[in-house]
Amino acid sequence: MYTELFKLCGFEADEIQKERSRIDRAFGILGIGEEDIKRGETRLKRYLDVELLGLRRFLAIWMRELVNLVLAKEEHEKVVYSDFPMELRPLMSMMLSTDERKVYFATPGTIINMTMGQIFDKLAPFQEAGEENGLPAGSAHCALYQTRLGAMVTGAIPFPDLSLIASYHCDQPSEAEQLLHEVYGVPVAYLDSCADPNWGDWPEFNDYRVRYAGSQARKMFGMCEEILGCKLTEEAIRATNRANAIYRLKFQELVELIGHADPQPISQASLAHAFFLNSMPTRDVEGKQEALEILFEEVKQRVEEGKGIVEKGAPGVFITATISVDPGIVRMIEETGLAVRIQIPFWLSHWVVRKHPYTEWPDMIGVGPCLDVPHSCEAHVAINVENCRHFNVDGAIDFYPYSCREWVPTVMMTKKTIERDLGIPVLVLEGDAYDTRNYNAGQLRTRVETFAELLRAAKAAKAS
Amino acid sequence: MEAMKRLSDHMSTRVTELTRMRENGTKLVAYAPGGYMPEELVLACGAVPVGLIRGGDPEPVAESAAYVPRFIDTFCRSQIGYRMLGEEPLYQMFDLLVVPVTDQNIKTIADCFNFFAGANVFRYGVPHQKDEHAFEYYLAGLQALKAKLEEFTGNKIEDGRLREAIDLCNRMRELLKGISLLRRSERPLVTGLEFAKLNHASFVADRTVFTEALESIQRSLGERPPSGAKGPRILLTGSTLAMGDYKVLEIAEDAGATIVVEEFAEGVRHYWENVQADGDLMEALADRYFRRRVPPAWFRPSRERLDYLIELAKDFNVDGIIWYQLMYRSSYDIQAFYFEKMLKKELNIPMLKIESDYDVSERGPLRTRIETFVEIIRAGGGS
Repeated sequence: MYTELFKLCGFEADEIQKERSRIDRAFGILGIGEEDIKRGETRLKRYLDVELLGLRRFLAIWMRELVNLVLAKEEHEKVVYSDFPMELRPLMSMMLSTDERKVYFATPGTIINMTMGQIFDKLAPFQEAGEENGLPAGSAHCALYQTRLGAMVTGAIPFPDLSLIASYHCDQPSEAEQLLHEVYGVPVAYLDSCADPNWGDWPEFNDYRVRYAGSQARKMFGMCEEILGCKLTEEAIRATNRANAIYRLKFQELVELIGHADPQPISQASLAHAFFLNSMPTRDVEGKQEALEILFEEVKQRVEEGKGIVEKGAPGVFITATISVDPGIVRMIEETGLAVRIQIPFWLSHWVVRKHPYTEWPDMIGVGPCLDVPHSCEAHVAINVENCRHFNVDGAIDFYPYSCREWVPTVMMTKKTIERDLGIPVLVLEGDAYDTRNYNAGQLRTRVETFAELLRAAKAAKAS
Repeated sequence: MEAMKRLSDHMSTRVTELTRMRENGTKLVAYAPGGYMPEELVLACGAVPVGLIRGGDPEPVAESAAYVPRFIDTFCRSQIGYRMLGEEPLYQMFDLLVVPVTDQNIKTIADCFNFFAGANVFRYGVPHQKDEHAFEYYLAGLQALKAKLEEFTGNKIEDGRLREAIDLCNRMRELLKGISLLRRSERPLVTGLEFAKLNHASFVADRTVFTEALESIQRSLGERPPSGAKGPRILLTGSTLAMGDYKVLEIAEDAGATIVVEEFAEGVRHYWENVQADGDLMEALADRYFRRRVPPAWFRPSRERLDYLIELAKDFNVDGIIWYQLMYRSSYDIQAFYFEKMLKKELNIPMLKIESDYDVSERGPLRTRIETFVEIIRAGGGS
């Protein structure tokens, strides 16, 4: 029933055969039936560049993780969860310090979004369950956390033995995990921090801000060690550092390649499958790196051959629509004839990659929120502007996730700043990165088409 | 009551008085009223502290839409609206805005005042838990604030002046607490609405004048007859109770209930704890304003606040709780879900959760819901 689907997702026939009983069990729990599988196949072919082996390798990692996640409690002694905005390094270093057979680490919201959302378009039951169990509809709660809560309370995925959550970037993850703790008794470790830099501070370091985040990382590691009965090892830290740096730098190279190519060689929706592994702690470190290397070479070949998914010379845009649940919105933007050169979190600006003076692992983790978007509105806007400048775009689409209270305040500031400083138009679109029930591609299409017309006319006028 | 009248007169001329003071060189330091801003530091450097606590009006909410999408807490959007509308003098005339950043909603006030109004804004962080590192972080924020105030006013904050300011604020809190505790009696001498207005005045009035007024009010309350019929006793809690946003108090008291105590993250002065000025004064301030302050819903773990609410409900012998939150304050929305279960289990009293976006159309439905709630309590509901 699902052989074709798994082949599209990069599985070999023997792996499908070997994993059949696990897949059957997981699909049974998730309620994935024939109709869902057909829909999945259609969506993969319709929205993603599945002819590329590199992408299929990424899809395979996501599908394996979906099965692993659903069966985690049956197959492991302990289950540990995290999710956005927690960055990968603390999770991965802790994960690599544990016994693979005993402890399962995952970011369940992201896995479910990338599979049940992107592929099967079957998130609504989880979201509704999340809404009924403490994150009600109509209050602009983050749908990522509605989905993961809903998946737990419906029994699709197990409750974890420990949740690791970060409060930099946004408040909602910690608030939602408090609910998980109070109602379901799940132990939670918080990587607390404060979004309090003053206007003009960024991009400078503030030592006490880094040290505080570092102290919280230490506390989090301590709680992990206590509950999981393991010790954070130097080897795991080194392995994490190495793997993370190699992956991110290659990914950066790929982002630059795509962003500067004309025509745009692959869909940004496909690239999202590589991007979200930046924050998902899979133990398949080599498989992930290999998938990226393959994808890079395939994209390079397309660029050299002048192949693309939009017309050569199409107006280029910067978009902020990093939508993990539905490739349809990004594809719709591309189908209107706009070349999506870059999405906000994909590219590491020079501020983010610069060296810092910290040598202790927890402090190094604390540096993250101090250099990137979570630092402040000022940083967020400046990074948006720099994305536009670096990729020399003709316009920007600020697709803001309506329930994201970190993002929302930056919207009008970004529009005003980009239009003032770069002289290019900005289209503001209200949407949701994790839930398409209220904001889907069809609803947004008319406005994007009009914007595309405007950019084409402006580009033609400039050329003449 | 004569003291109330004097205070009311003072409040009606306060803006004029502040304008004159500014013309004579006194700095006006406004702040976001989440309870994490020690006014003592402002007073000790010779500046005047003013809490920006206005709320409940629909126009500023509508105005804010030009600057920030609607998915930010209503009170915080209002603050942006008041400033950008230009109609509320206190929102225009301050020299420095201090924003203790508690969450993304409060942070948005600072960002919008910076970006759209070009205001002079100073932020420092309030961690979301209370370990020693968090205490140190908050203390470091206060030290930075102290340095900012000294540089900004040109006046050094000496220990002597800081101690005087602490004494004044301690006295003000003690008096507010004393008056509030009068509501523990079976027939309270002061209504919830009266107390809320008194509390709100403390953010704007001259602190010495206000403290003297409180002393007179406390004395005269002893001579006042108790309030009328004995109605259901209500604990009012939630995210923000702003100055001017009195609809819940008015409707509940019209329906025959008595708001005997309130607990809010923002908009009301927290008076239960005083500064213990017997060591390092900055640490003493951090101890009072952070370590011993009852945390709002964005603290984790949340138990300290929830246990406190249960104790407050017992202490004031309440019959029910009204949970009043503003739109999109997600922390309160989530906490209400599990607090209601906890309340049922521990005290078996009912809770009514209501939300507001400061829209005039809410008043009718709110009245129906609150009146029904009061009737349910009268009929023995929840027990």
